Amino acid sequence: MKSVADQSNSTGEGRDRLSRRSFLRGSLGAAGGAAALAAALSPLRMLDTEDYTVEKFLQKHYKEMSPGDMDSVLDRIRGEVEKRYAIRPELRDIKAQDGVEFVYALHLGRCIGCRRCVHACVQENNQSRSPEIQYIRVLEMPKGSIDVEQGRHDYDRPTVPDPDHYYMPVQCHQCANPPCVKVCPIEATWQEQDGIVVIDYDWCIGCRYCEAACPYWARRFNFTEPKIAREELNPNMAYLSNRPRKQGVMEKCHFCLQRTRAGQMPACLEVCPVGARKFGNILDPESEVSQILKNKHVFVLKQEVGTLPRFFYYFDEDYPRNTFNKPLPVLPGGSHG
Amino acid sequence: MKTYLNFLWRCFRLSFVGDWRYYGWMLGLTIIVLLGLNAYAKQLVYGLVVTGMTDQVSWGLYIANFTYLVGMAAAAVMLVIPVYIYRKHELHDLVIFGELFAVAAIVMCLLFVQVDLGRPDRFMHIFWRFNFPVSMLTWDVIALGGYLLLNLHICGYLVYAAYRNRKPSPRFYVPFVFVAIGWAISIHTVTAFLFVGLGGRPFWNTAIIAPRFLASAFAAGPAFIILTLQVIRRYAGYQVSNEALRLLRNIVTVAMTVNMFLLVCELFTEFYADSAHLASTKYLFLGLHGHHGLVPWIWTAITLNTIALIILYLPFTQSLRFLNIACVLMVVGIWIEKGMGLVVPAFIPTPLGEMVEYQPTLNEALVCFGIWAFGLLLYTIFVRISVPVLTGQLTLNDNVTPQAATAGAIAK
Amino acid sequence: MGETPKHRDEHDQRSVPAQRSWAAYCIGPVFFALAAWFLWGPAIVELPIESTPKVNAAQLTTAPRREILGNPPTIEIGGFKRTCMDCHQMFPPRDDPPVALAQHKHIVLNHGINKQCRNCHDSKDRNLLVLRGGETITYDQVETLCAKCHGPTFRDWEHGAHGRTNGYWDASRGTVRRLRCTECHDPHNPRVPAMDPLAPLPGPHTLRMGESHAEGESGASHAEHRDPLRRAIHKYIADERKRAESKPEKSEKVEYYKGEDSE
Repeated sequence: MKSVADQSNSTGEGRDRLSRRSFLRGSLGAAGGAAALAAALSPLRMLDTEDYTVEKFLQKHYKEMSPGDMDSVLDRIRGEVEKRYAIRPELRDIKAQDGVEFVYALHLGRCIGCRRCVHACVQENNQSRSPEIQYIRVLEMPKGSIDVEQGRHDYDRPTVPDPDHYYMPVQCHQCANPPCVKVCPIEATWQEQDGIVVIDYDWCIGCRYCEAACPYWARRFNFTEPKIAREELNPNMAYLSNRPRKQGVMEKCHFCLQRTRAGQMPACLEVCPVGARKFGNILDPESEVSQILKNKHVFVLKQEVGTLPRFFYYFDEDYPRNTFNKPLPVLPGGSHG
Repeated sequence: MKTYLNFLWRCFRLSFVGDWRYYGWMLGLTIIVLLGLNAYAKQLVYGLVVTGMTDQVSWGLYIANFTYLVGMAAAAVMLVIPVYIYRKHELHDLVIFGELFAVAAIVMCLLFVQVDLGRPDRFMHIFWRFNFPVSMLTWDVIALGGYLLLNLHICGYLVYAAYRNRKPSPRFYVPFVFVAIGWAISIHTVTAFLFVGLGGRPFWNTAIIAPRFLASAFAAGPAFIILTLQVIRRYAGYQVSNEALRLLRNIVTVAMTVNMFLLVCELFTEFYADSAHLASTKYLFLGLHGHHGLVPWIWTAITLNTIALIILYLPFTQSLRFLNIACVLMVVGIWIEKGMGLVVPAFIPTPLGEMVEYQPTLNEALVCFGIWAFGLLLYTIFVRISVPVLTGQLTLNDNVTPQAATAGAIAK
Repeated sequence: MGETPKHRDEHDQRSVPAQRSWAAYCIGPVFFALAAWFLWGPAIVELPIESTPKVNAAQLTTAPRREILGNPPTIEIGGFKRTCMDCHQMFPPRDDPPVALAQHKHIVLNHGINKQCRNCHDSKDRNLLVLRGGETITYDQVETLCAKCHGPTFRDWEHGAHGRTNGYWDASRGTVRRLRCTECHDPHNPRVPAMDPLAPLPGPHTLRMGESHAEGESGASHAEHRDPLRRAIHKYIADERKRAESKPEKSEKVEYYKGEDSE
């Protein structure tokens, strides 16, 4: 390699010999270097070539896709899923509805910490089973504290609830002022009109800045290729929610968009055996969540970080309770009680 | 244009010429680069699961090194400011080495960001949907890219002018130098804001991070440059005056003092108030809930920095040999402080209070070493080329063979 | 370059090429050795498999906890459906004081201060329920009966703050199914029974997960494998096996939650 310099200037016999020797040296070095480079890169032969196609490279951002673009992308994904899981998925792109803004409410006094929601979510949303990704984390909290640091994540009792603890499930709060959306350098995650913060899995570059920004630890990263058994795949899919993800991208709870935008309840709510979970449209004043927000003692986790969550925790008020839909009596002096 | 291409070609050839020490050094670095490349190839195939990072600690060594190197790059201005603002001319000829180092450091930064991505193949998305000005990461992209271009221009212009035996025209580089001064401060500030802006991470969400970043960068960067200058004047045969090193030493001393002072301010604020925000700080300095992963690291860093500061201040350690020791201590100390000490603890405990410690894997470490080796390789080549050019041994009009010229440079 | 001193060239010819030659010959072989190490060396990455907490479908049922009784409730005896009154009309109701049950012994009455059958069951027509004023209602109006004591809870239930609502949130697109009191609560023993929690996630899911963070173990043993990646995986698999072996079978029986009642 280094002999190139010598070569051009060789004069005389000694130089010539030197030059031939140095040429030999040079080619030996160059060949060795090339071999070492090729060998160093050899693991790349195991790369999934289907994931690195020109078509995917040129795929547009979700918001820039025309309906036609979207159709062809959906078709391609259907084909990929069918090829891999032998199931033709019901994949579609469901848009947010006008006049709908989703809110979640969770009754802390009811939750018994059984983790049914955690696993129903995994099944519904086609999370990787190996390694397993879970969107919901249930904290076992000692009574008398709301400091999450006191909570246990890995409690595994024979039965729950434990009388000395209460249980606080945490998942994506779909904040109205979402720090994760703010920090994303490429707009791969954004807030939809119905309040759901979604991710375009085909746009995300996997920098994990959103994961660092989230105060609720709601985001998950696919550290390796997600694996789901064929028979466990849920074929009811939407582009922005539970279609199978790829290695190296973020994912998180999206209020089961494929269900809720079709009018159904999210999977975590459906499976909750104690009715601790409540979901609905906050813009409808008669919805359960509207009533709860209006009448119950409601709080949000980490209000001080200013994220304005759409996920509320509530508990029962003391007796005598305030009556529903009636204004509070005005105390003398004019201030409200 | 042809002259320029010829210049590049000669530079290329020159980078393969040297004595056995040069070969040994370059071969060693190349091997480490290849090891890193191999490790990265594995990471590409299997994903970031081959690193020690988790959903709990989602940034690790890569971002730590990135943060540190941004500071190193920014520190080039500490050579420039005395020359162009305070007219301290003993540093004038050394500015170029600072700027070259900045180029190498920025390249390393960009590589560290690249290896941290889960989908590096989609890096181009940043040009198609750029979340500017909301995302601090986009600011960082602009800051780093701009700084790289500025420094490439300044270095390239100065070296090429020397090659053509022309006096560099101030019009073509002095304005850029002034822009670069501001820009250097901005790259580090913006990088600090990257962390500071996250309200969910109380460990980062404090205004002192940015000034601390700058102070530590202005200590570690010039310290590193002092070390490289010592190597350059020993092996590359380039005149570096003792006055220049003394001036740098003063800069380092002040910066390090400020850095330690800010550290004390931060520790007081956190520990005296003793609020819930303390968890990560406590984990870092004392350990929390029986987890002490970072405690030895941070105390090592503080010890190294303190010893370095004492060496810099004591009257009987004014010789340059002691300066070298102090610089090594600072480079290492600040690396720990800003890497393991700043990036990792913010994730422990998680926002939901879970304690998961971080420990880098071998594969991850190899990638880091590979990038460092690549940066040093670049810097060595830059120095290898610019020294003969600046000393007039390699010019456009020389009738001496390049071999003799380059060999001459080595022989010095 | 004109002023290049003579001695430099001499120096060049004397020492540099000689020095270069042996150093340069090493480069090729070193690179080849490195290439061989990459290809056949020990560092083959294996990834952890089977880290999933096992869950069976029955545990994730969305069905109500209890089946609602018919109106009037029926019981199958000898292939025929019988209502309460089919038997009870043969036995005239006895007056106070109430006596211990001779029949229906499977019923555990654990309903706070509500300890008397006839607080809820009509003493004359067993197919009906009785309110506190003596007014009777049918079994499909059971909420009205519960509401007599649990007014606030009833009010919460009416507005959706208490109890399960399944199916659709949007009534225009499907059935909003609001579960009724007795679909979750056994009226004789209304506390919600304790449950077996599904397993937690084993740990952070990377190669590090083998090193249990709960115990704060600092590192793996040194000797087994040179490659820490593999070591971590092997340790992980061994731990998983240990965990699987040592974990006792969970009891199937249902216990009743004896904690403080929030209502």
